[in-house]
Amino acid sequence: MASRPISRKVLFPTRVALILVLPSLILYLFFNIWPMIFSIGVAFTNADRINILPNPEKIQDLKNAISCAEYLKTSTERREKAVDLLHRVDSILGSLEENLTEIKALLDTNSSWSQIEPYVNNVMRLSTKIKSIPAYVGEVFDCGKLGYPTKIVLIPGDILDKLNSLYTISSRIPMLYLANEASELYKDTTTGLNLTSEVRGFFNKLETNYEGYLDEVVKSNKEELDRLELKYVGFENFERLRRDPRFYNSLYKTLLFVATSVPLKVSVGVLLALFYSTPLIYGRKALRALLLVPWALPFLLSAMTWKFLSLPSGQMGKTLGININVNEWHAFLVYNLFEAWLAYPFIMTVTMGALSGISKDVIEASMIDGAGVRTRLFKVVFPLIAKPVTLAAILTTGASLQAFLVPLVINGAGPTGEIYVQGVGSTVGPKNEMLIVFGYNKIMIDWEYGYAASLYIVVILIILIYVSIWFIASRKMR
Amino acid sequence: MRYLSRREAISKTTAVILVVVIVVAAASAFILLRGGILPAGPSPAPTGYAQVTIGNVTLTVPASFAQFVEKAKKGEVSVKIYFGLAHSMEERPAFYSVINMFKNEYPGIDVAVSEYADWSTMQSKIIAVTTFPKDQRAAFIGQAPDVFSWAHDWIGGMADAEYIIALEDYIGTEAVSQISEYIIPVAMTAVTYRLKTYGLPYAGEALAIYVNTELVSTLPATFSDLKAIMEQFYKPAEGTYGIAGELAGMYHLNAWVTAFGGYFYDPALPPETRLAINSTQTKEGVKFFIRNVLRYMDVRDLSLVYQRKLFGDGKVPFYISGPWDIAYVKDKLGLGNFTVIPYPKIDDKTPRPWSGFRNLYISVMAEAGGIERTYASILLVLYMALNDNAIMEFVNRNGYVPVKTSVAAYVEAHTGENPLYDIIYGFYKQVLVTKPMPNDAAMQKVWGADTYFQALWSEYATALGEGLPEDQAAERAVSKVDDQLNAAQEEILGKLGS
Amino acid sequence: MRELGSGSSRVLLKIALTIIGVFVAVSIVYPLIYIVAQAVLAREEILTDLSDLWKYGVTLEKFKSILSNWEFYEALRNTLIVAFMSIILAVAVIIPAAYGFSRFEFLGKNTMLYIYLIVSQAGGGFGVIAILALYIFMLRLSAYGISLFHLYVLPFIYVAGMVPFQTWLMKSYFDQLPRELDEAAFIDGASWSDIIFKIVLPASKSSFIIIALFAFMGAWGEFIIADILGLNTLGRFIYRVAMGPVGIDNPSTYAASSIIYAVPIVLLFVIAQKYIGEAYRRGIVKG
Repeated sequence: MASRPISRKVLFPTRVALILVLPSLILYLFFNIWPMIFSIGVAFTNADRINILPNPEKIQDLKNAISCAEYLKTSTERREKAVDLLHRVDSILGSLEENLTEIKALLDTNSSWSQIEPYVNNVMRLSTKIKSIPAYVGEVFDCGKLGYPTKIVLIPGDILDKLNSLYTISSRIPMLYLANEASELYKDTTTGLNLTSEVRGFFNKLETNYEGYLDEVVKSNKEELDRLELKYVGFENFERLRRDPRFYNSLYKTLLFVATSVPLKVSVGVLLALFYSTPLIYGRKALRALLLVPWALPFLLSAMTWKFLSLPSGQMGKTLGININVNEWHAFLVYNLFEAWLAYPFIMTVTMGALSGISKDVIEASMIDGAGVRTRLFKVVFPLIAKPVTLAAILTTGASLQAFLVPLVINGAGPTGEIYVQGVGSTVGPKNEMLIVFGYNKIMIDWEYGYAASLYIVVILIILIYVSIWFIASRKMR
Repeated sequence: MRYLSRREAISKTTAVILVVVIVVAAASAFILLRGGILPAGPSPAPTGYAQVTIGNVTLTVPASFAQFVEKAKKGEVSVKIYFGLAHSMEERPAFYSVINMFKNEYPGIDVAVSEYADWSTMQSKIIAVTTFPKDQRAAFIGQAPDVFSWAHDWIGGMADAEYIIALEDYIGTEAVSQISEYIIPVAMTAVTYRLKTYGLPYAGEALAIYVNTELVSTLPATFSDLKAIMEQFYKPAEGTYGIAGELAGMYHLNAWVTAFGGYFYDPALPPETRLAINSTQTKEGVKFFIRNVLRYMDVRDLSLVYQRKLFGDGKVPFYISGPWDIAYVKDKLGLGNFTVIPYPKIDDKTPRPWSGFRNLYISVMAEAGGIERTYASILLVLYMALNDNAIMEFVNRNGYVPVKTSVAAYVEAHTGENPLYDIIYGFYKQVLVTKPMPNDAAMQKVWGADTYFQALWSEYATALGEGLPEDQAAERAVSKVDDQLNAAQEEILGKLGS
Repeated sequence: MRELGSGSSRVLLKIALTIIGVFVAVSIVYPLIYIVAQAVLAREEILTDLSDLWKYGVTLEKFKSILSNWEFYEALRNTLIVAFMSIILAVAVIIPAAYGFSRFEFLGKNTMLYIYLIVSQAGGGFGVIAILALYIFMLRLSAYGISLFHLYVLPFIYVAGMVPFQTWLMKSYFDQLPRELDEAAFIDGASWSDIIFKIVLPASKSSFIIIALFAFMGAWGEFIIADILGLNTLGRFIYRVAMGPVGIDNPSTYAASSIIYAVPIVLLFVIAQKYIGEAYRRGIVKG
């Protein structure tokens, strides 16, 4: 309709455009951009499960414990009470040491078993007493009353661990005695003696080096506080990635997967579209609809079906004689088949759409010109459907690059085995671990969020490179 | 005005004194009788403490807790708490049953059960709540469980991060040590971390060997007996094998390794010797396993479901697993057709598997919403772990192995009545002499070494697939043991050091 | 090669090709047949051979047990709510945006389109971290009193994820609608609301259906985000049934539940076949 060209701006004011576009944009920004920014940020930290969302109560307890200990260093009253505390604690530990020494001696001299009994009984009684030690410490170093409420008892972490081991060992000794386990009993007694003397030596500080004792407490709690802190580590994660054989393996496997699955997907899709478009087949429409089934099924359904089928005891496993639990390439083959099965309907639809766009005139003209079936196919049809099919291929390549659910569901990304990369080193891991699966494992199994985030950034960069290649190429095509 | 006559004065004074005395006497009687200071029960408790009885257990607890328990029994309080359940579907009805028993006994406490798909879902809920400061948590009541049940090896990490609360903080060390007298020591140590008790165990488990008594007439007494029978049954061409068992990694290897004096991780030892994945003894144990056990297994699929199916279908005479498979085996083979034996001795060496314990924990969620909710949660835990009827409910319905000595004694006494008890008692005996899996946070990192062991069976399976006979394939896998375990030790040391 | 002969040889050829065609189609669709067989198998075991069906018998028991599971209905109800909200939200938000991109010129329009295209390809790369980040983000918001941990958040998350690709696709679709219609109406003095409601909407009916379809299918099939956020949708229910030991332990029950899960989608798909084809044709072929 010829008319005076009206200024675009008047006809379609920007104001209205913004009203139309903004809601979706805001929605997208809110729910998708923040996570992306967060992920990028995390890659430069040492984020893991412990320090990404620490318990504020725990942090407060640690800080209070530290302040309390610092304050107590100056308290003469507590210093005096500390000596009493030492005596109480030492009586338990000393008694334990005595009894353990006796047991060891009796075992050394191969004495009769029943002679050990009274000492074993003593040890049993002492085991529950050990558990009261924190309470005794709490009575003297009563941080709550001093204004520093905390659940943490003022004993350094490693000493607490040793005390706990002592408790465990002394609980176990009576059982070993009853079961006549001489060598186990000897081992535990020896370990127990070592631990007891170490712990006693430490508690002596309450008398000999009061500040030293509290300094140890402060140091131990500061270390824990440090571990709970999210720290900026610069490019350390990327450095680590560079030296990780699993990264190179995943890169290799992913690219290989793209190289094998994309041609497979596209050719299957195009071939099926061509095959089911010839007028030489009855019931084309019904068959085509049937072929679109993989697209319609929810992923969960397809995934488990393929998994059941491809197990070494499953139908496909047995027919093809493959074992996806043992051979990584068998599993790789199954990934390709499954991926092709999932993706071909898309390619097929696009191809059919493109085919329907080719006007009959063109085909008839070529037929009149005496072109045979083959010439018709290659010289007429293919060029006309090339563009949409290429675009579809590009889209589906992106899907292959980001393969994640397919390897994961079929067999957890391949049998576990040695991964060796020349020049980098070797390690052990799932052999078919593709890039995204690698990141997923790092998050779910190792809880190394920072490291996984750095991997994801690398993946995004790879995809961006890929997309820009496509852009440049498509520009050139125009 | 006239003065009161002497007689009148005296009677007035008397009257006044009498009145005062009567009033004081009445008041004191009133106070004394109401306050309950007049001892009504047994031994006098230390000041501020009182007695509480749960099942056949009497505990000395802070008075406020004891009072709460009394009121809950009479229905004079109204509290609601949430119990988190993430165990498998077949196990859940038993929990509902026990919780109903609890609610009947303590009508003042309402317990709602929150079901979760799995442990990590439940754990994330608990962790999510703790990211908020204490005063803001009340808004989340109901979204994370107050009491929950799970295995014991997670305690260290959860306690360190203060996701769960210690019993001593609320019922005192006295009560806890009283409880210890009723429960087997190894179970109590599993639930103790840094000298505090973070819950109570109510069931134990350890690997042992299921035997199909229809296939095997004489129970093997030593490992050589076992090996001879495995040798007999190993005919892969006919689809029968010598032994079956899930093989994920160190958990399933531990018994064999300890037999040779090796171990993977022992937190009681000094740091230099704590991690011993590549010690000579550990390596020996692993090599023994490959040559003498793995060699008789169907290694095409080492998952739980596949392996136990072999046993259920009668294709293997032996199956290494824990009490969690009792229901399946009972269903497939029938109660009279199988039994459970501990690992047999290898010459003079005793294999000792790790034990695991099911515990009831109290999350910090229970501290929100008032002290009554905390007390109610603690009471629920005490009930489920200490009331014999509750525990027997678990034993009968789910085949759990009890860790309370009185219940174990009951089970032993009644093995004649219920063949299931025989099986359960078999597991109980195995548990008694085990070491629990280490529960400190570092252990989580040690599990990462499992991939190295999986690489070993992969090697064996690949060798088999290439057509090598079993013994040669085993040797090939054995040749890799040293390198793999050395590499594993290095990697885990690195992780622990950081 | 000459044109194929007429008559009987042509008919024979047609029959031969049809048989091959049917055979190929059926073998490709075999997995579906397999899972249906698994679902009706009377034993809780992985089907290894179709002859097992005769050996062990066939039953509809599994379907009945799932349909009588209250949890299933709760999950179903939740998913329906989420799906319908997603449809409404998607239509309300994406179609106007697509129209805007198509008809209007404004600063940064082309850049945004390119970014949309790139992001719709690359966004998946962030994968699990992005979901985790979203989870943490929502936790932080909760700390400030805005608790988003609710079923009704899912439609927003899903539709937000749909924005880049669908906007782009619909924009290509709108590009096909002749501009002249709008311009003519405008010149004739129609107001904006007239143009939108009387001209554009009726002409773009298929776009509504397409968006609604994608929104529904997306909401129905999604399970990972729902799982992480702990919201009980049907996808998550099936995922839980499948991935746990229950799935492999009870393959028949799992198969039955996933078939029930798949039925609405397949029906919708079949009904809307023509629209989807059209969408991709117009969007990709021409775009």
